[in-house]
Amino acid sequence: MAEIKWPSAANRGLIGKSISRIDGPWKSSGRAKYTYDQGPAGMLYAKLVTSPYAHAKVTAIDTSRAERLPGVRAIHIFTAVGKEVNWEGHEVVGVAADTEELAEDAARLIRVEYDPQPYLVADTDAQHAGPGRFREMSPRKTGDPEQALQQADVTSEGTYGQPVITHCCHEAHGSVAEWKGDELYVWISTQNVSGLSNEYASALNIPATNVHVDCQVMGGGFGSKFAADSWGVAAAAMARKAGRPVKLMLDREVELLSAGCRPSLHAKIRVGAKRDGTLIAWDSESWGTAGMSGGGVPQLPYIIQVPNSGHRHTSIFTNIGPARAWRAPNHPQMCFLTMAALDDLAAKLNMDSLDFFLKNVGLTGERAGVYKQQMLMAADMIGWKQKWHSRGDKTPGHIKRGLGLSFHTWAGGGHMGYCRTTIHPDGSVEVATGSQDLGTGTRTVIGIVAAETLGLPLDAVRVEIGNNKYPPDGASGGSTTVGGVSSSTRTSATTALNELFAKAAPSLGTTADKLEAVGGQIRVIGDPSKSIPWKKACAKLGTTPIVAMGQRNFSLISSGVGGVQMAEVAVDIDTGIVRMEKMVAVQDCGLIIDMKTAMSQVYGACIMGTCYALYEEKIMDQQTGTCLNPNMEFYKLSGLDDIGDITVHMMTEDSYQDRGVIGLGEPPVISPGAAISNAVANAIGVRVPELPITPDRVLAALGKGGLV
Amino acid sequence: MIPAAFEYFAPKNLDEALRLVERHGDEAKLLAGGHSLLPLMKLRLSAPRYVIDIGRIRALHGVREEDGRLVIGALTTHHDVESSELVRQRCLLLAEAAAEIGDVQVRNRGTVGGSLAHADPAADYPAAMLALEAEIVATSSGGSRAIPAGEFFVDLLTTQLRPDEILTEVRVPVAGRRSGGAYRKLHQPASGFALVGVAARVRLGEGEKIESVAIGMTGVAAHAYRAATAEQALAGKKPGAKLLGEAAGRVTEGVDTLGDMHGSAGYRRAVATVYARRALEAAIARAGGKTA
Ligand SMILES: Cc1cc2nc3c(=O)[nH]c(=O)nc-3n(C[C@H](O)[C@H](O)[C@H](O)COP(=O)(O)OP(=O)(O)OC[C@H]3O[C@@H](n4cnc5c(N)ncnc54)[C@H](O)[C@@H]3O)c2cc1C
Repeated sequence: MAEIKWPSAANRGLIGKSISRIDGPWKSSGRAKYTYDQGPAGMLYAKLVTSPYAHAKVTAIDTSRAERLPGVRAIHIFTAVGKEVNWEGHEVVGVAADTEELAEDAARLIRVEYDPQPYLVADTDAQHAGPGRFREMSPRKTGDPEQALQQADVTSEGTYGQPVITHCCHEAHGSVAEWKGDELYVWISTQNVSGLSNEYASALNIPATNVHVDCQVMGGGFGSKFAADSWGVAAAAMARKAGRPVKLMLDREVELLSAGCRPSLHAKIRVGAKRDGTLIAWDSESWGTAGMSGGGVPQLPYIIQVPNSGHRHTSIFTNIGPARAWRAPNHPQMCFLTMAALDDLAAKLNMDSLDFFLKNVGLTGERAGVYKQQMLMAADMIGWKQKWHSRGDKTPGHIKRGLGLSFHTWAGGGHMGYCRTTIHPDGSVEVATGSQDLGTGTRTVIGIVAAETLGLPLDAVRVEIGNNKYPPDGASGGSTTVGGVSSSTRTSATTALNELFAKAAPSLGTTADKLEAVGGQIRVIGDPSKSIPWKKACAKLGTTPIVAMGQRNFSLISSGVGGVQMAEVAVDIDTGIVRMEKMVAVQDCGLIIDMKTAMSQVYGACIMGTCYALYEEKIMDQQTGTCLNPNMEFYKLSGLDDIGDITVHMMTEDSYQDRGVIGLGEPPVISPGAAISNAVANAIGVRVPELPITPDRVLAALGKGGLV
Repeated sequence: MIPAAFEYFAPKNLDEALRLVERHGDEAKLLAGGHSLLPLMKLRLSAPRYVIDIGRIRALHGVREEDGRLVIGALTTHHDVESSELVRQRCLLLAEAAAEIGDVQVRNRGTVGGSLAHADPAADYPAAMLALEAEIVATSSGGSRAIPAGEFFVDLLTTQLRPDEILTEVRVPVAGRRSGGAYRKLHQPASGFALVGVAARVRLGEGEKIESVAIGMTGVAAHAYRAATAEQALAGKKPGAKLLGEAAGRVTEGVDTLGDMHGSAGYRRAVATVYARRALEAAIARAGGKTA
């Protein structure tokens, strides 16, 4: 009987290889249908009327003119008269009509009156936020930070911060909803295929059994697509009212205003070390906003447990927008603040940053050895020792270069989920789970695990995901998907295989526990001459397929990974423009199922991290409370030309692989902001204290003008 | 992002187009490349009742040389200007400015006439036309008039053009010997529009002194302008690093500098100086027969 564990390195045919995603051709040829591409017969288009105010009470809604417009089929009230809206772009009314143009015209005919309320769209000052607008978290302290700061030979003090940014998913939020009698069918861009039926059921007063959710492919969620959302429910409600399917996709403006904000985080930090660089003191006072909800509580310092440390945090309640989890919640912010403050201390110590962090790596705890190895490896890859100079590139000319580093941690683990493997008498195989592929390669990973387990080529396995008719699987958050699906798939495929072994054993004159499945054969372990082809073995099933369930299996997965990233930048000190020239990322993540999609996560994270390091900010107008850049022209992401060379190294030594599968989606996006900021400080000799590092912030830091 | 409904005309010649603008005046918009008008209509910042597509009027396309001047038809695309051998030889500054506009798609559709008529405060051609002392020709059914570039740009998105006029061509004097020009620009990261754009034209005279100089600035203020005090600082002097630095430092003097989310007013002033120096250095080098 095959055991439920991962094959040893010598016995892996597919696992760990660099394999192109199985849905690649389907996507690149345009045959893959995203939510936006769905168009059931008779479909209506919906548009939203949203709040122009950051905070207001709705006092009147008049939809009569829209209702009189021929072709308008349904109206949905999101925010009833008397209720409040808490950010610009907050949904108030929806309208569904025969064409998109008509829906837009109808939305413009809807009159909403508001009673504007006081608002706050600044997160830079907790003390002046006003009554009821902030909450102080209970302070944390270990040792005696004040005394340690006194005793330190060298101290450094600084204020650092990063603003609210958005998710800016490639594919906006939204769904297409269709009713067939009492049964609701929705195509929705979601990170949570199996988890939405209850939300629909309770909102629409139907049994969860009647809710059918489908999402075959999606253009990213990054933590912002766990729910059906008010607009998902509205599409279904309008479809029921109109008796026709409804498509409601957010346009880019509403997407950026209302579909999620990453909390900001600012801090005043004091740190101290002994002359030799040994860190002894940390004290921080942080503040930030997660919209009206206050948000999570950041822990500072990040990763490095400074012996004497104190931290206080204040949450500010603002009308900047709704907080949603953003790829590695809190970590990129905490990482930036910590690494920037420590890098400034290293500069004051006149130490090479790498030496400084190596010196203190023991403070990271049990994974110190891993970080050390990763730091040395990354340093080698970027040529740290050859290129390093102390603060301020002294070479002539207006282009200054610098190096910076950062490191990070993340849990991973695996979410609860089930997988079903079916082996048909003709030899064909299907694995099914109600998971989703956010674009990360989940579908491919499931196929690889099933094919490896059954000793078949990848294309012999049919992978079915993205629909809640399949066995349920958890939401894709916290980098838990690969652990969840790989272990449930391995378990179900192994169980199915053992049943097949039992059927095949007699014809090979042996018992099931003596068999293995390799290269399309079922054969006797240790005696490959005794074998039968896969198809022949399956033929013994008669007319009944084997169906085996498996669930998340802790013996196959683990959690807790780390990574080190280094950045090299070039800064034009005449214009303040920063270019990310090179990044190296060294990352461990347990057993890698598909090297190509794993590395692709790291590449993507370095790009996304460069975006928030250099470009991304939800810019709020203090005079009106509105957002100035809710579009992709002004909410600038990087283009091809903005991204330098990225080199990724995955740790694949046995000691890492033996831990089992661990998620990877989030960890590599944590460090880029810190690494790039440190590199800029190294290049120009002063810290640009805020992210994103915009040209005018650079000139201001250099005292050359700028933010005036 | 869907425009309001409108009625569409596609006149085949200038006369027909002029009759349409005369009839519909304020309620009509001319459509050339559409790269400024259509975004405005999609955002419903503009909702004309009539759209008059002048793209089929062949006579307004192309570049020719006439009496020591380049004559550029209003419908000549940015790409045509950028790649015209004639423009490159006679007026490198203009070809450079055209090549810096937006991206390939924008340059393939957008037109000289549309850009000048639209007068975006961050557009590139206005600065170039100012530095080149070009004439902009406006035609109505009553006839044509030539407007000096220096008088053409009135305010944000506002020019001397009347609603019944069509911008038909631009006339650019061809520079003589010992002259050089250059266009240098800092792009807004996403659209490519000028955060700061500087067009500099210089003629050297006796003893390598600057005989004449013109500096056109865009992106910095509500409309493109000539940097007069900087020009005065240079006139009659022998160029050197110090002089150029000083003059470049004056290009925003007396100007109400724009500040927005792409860059504060202070940032714009700082980079205006940087780009003015770069443009002047290149123009002077070219006037002196060097490549830059
Ligand atoms: C993504 C993007 C990036 C861009 N980047 C830049 C840039 O970097 N630099 C830059 O300079 N520009 C840039 N532009 C603007 C571009 O150059 C436009 O093409 C130009 O501003 C308008 O020219 P058009 O032919 O498209 O005019 P249209 O959009 O067709 O018309 C613009 C306006 O001019 C009027 N008009 C057009 N032709 C005439 C005429 N002959 N007589 C009278 N009125 C007329 C129209 O009625 C309308 O009001 C960009 C545009 C886009 C969409």
